Amino acid sequence: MELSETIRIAVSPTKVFELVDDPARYHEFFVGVTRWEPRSKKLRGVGAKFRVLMQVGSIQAGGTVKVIERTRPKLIRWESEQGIHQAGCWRLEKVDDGTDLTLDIEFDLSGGPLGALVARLAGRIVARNMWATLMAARRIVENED
Amino acid sequence: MTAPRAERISEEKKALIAGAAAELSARDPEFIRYQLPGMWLFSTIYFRAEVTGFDRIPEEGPVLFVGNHSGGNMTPDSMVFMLAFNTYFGVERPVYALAHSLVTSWPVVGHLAGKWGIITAGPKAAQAALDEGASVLVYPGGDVETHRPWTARHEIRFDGRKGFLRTAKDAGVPIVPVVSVGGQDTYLPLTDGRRIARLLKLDKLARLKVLPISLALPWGLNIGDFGGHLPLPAKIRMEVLEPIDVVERFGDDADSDEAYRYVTERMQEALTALAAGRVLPPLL
Repeated sequence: MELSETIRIAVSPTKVFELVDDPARYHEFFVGVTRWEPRSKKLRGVGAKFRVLMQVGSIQAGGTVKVIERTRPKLIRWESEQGIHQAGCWRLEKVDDGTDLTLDIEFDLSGGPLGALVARLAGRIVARNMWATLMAARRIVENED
Repeated sequence: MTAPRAERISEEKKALIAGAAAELSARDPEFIRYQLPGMWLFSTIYFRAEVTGFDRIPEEGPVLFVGNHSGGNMTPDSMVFMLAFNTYFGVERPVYALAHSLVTSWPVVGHLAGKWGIITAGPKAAQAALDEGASVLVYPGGDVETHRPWTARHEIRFDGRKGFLRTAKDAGVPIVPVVSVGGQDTYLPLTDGRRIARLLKLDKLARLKVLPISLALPWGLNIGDFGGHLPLPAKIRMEVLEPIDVVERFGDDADSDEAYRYVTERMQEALTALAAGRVLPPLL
């Protein structure tokens, strides 16, 4: 299941990047994510690892993810090393009046046809959380000095 | 001279496999991963489960989960727990659940249960799993508790069984209590039939202390629950409690009556609080 949401934010990519590049602040705006804690000495950038959990229906699902790509102030990409097979990225694109911030999340539940059905149901939950996340991120960066 | 740890464990495993008690290698992480979506549907849509407290479980190392058992032979609480554990920590972190030999010895059900990590209940099986660094889920009350009557649905009923304390003491692992409500609302257990079971000598014949009588789908009057039943969509609430290090707290008396009372009372407190959160049983 591949999900993508984009929001326009009226500040520069550099300022938006400061927020999404700081996992210590994810609890402020990453909706549905109940845990994003470092599992490596490196706290950000390529090679940094995190224990990640997201509330999906009755349970929390997640595992360990590793940042595999980081280009300032354009891109942060991660993928799972353990647990639910998942990948995601923050993409930032400069536009005339600010930044288009995109959040991509991809996950694979396996499980055949039943897995596909659950992916659709869980995908709705995750997509709503992603949109709420982008709105929260916009609120934060547009109101910070 | 003492054999190296790995060699000793291997010898223990061989001995236990001969008794079909600890088929630890039957656990199949990819099979579990494949089954998780279906379990999620049951848990989220059918039972509308609420699971809390998983953040209290140590991130690494073996623990002994001690749960209260409900729902007759269908045990929706086990299903919700196994789903929640495998999605929270990933199928890579092994957990085994101890079950009655009637479950693990069924031709098809026993085979599938083995893939999930369900092994025949027994102290040696639990010890072997814990020695391998896996966690273990045990329901000390077993058949006595899961078939308790509906009027006792919010009671911890371990029937004085303290084997779980000895297991935790011998393995040096913390106990993590898990309580849940709602399982006894998935059918209507009328009596556990302990007297009838005693009269029929079921304990000696099949290690059964009870012969439950219930009202359940699709049977109507359901005697024994041997064929299972169709569980009603009652809401399941589950809470994982703070770990209890019985060795640290009770020392050599970690398997004493006092330790037993402490653990069961702690669980009863939490279960009563969880039950108090229900507005209108069984669906809310």
